[in-house]
Amino acid sequence: MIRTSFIGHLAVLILLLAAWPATAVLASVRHFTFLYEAPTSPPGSVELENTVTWQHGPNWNDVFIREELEIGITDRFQLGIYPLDWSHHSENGLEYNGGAVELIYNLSNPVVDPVGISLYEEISVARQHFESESKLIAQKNFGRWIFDYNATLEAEWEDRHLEEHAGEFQQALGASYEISPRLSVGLEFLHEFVFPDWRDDEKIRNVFVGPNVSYRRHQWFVTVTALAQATDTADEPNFQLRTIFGVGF
Amino acid sequence: MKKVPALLKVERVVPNALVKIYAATPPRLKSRSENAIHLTLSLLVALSVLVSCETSNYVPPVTLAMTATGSRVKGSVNSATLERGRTLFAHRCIECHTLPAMWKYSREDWPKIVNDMSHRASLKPAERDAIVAYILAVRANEH
Repeated sequence: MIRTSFIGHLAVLILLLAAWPATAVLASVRHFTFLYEAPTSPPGSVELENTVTWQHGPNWNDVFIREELEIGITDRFQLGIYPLDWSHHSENGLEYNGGAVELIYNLSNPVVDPVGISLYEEISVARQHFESESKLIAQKNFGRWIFDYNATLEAEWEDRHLEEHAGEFQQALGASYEISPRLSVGLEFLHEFVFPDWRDDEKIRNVFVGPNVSYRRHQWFVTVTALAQATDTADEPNFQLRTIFGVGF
Repeated sequence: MKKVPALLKVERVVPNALVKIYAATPPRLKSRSENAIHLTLSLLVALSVLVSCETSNYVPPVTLAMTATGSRVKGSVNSATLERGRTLFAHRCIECHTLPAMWKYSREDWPKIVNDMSHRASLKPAERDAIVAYILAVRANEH
């Protein structure tokens, strides 16, 4: 019974996916995968973004999968819904990590104004887990160049009564050059400050750096970034690869 | 005995003091993270130097001359339409790609290009026309 219902839902989903591209509107192309950009999606646009991150450590491999439905509400306001956050860990296997909602509000334009600024807030909720992620996004476009900066503050509460808590401040820099209207290449740089129990006793600092490439065509785009760890933090991945595939509806 | 000027005394004393301080300080090795930060910042500085080659204004502000040209070519075009076209051009087009220089395409090509992109950029017909009017007004006033 459950199986029949699942197949029915799958068939409806496939039909919808087949019909949507005819009226597709691409929300916004991502030139970076670890950074957000200041421009928000046009009003009325809907896009599905699939993000896959593979992290490789000394003796472990983790995969994180996120599905996002991105909706342009007004010229400056964008809503993102993450109904499915999955991950696969070498030790624990497959895990469902709950869902999330993100809001982005654009304050200024990266071409016309001195700096394009947007504010970002994401709330993630799962069983015995609550997380808030706030970002300041700053971007400047010079001709074919895009320069991007994100300052992110993450706070998470875990465990049975949300007793365990931790924080992280991250700053990220990115530069992207548009070789053609369809193809961009660039660099991404992450600098993390991790605060277990909101303390800085351990002085955990992580640095990741690596190249990216972005390709777009009609109603879809794909962007890939490969980052290597430049620090020696044992619990952090030595290498990570993130792919974002977006398709407009 | 010849009197030594005060400045020369200072010059004689300070270098020795600096040598002592330098000798007492253990050599400091740069960590991998510092190297990575320096490398990335150097690359960004190099990129910003390259960027200085691309300083032309891709979205010039609307002028009286543009408004006059716009209304001559198409009666309904006023400064508000051109301002709206400029705002939409700067906001919607950069959601997928960087802005192209307006001289890159001919005046005849621009209406077709904007029309082809209008669906992807979620542009209504009036918004599409405003962008075309702005681009053509800029092109008509190029010196």
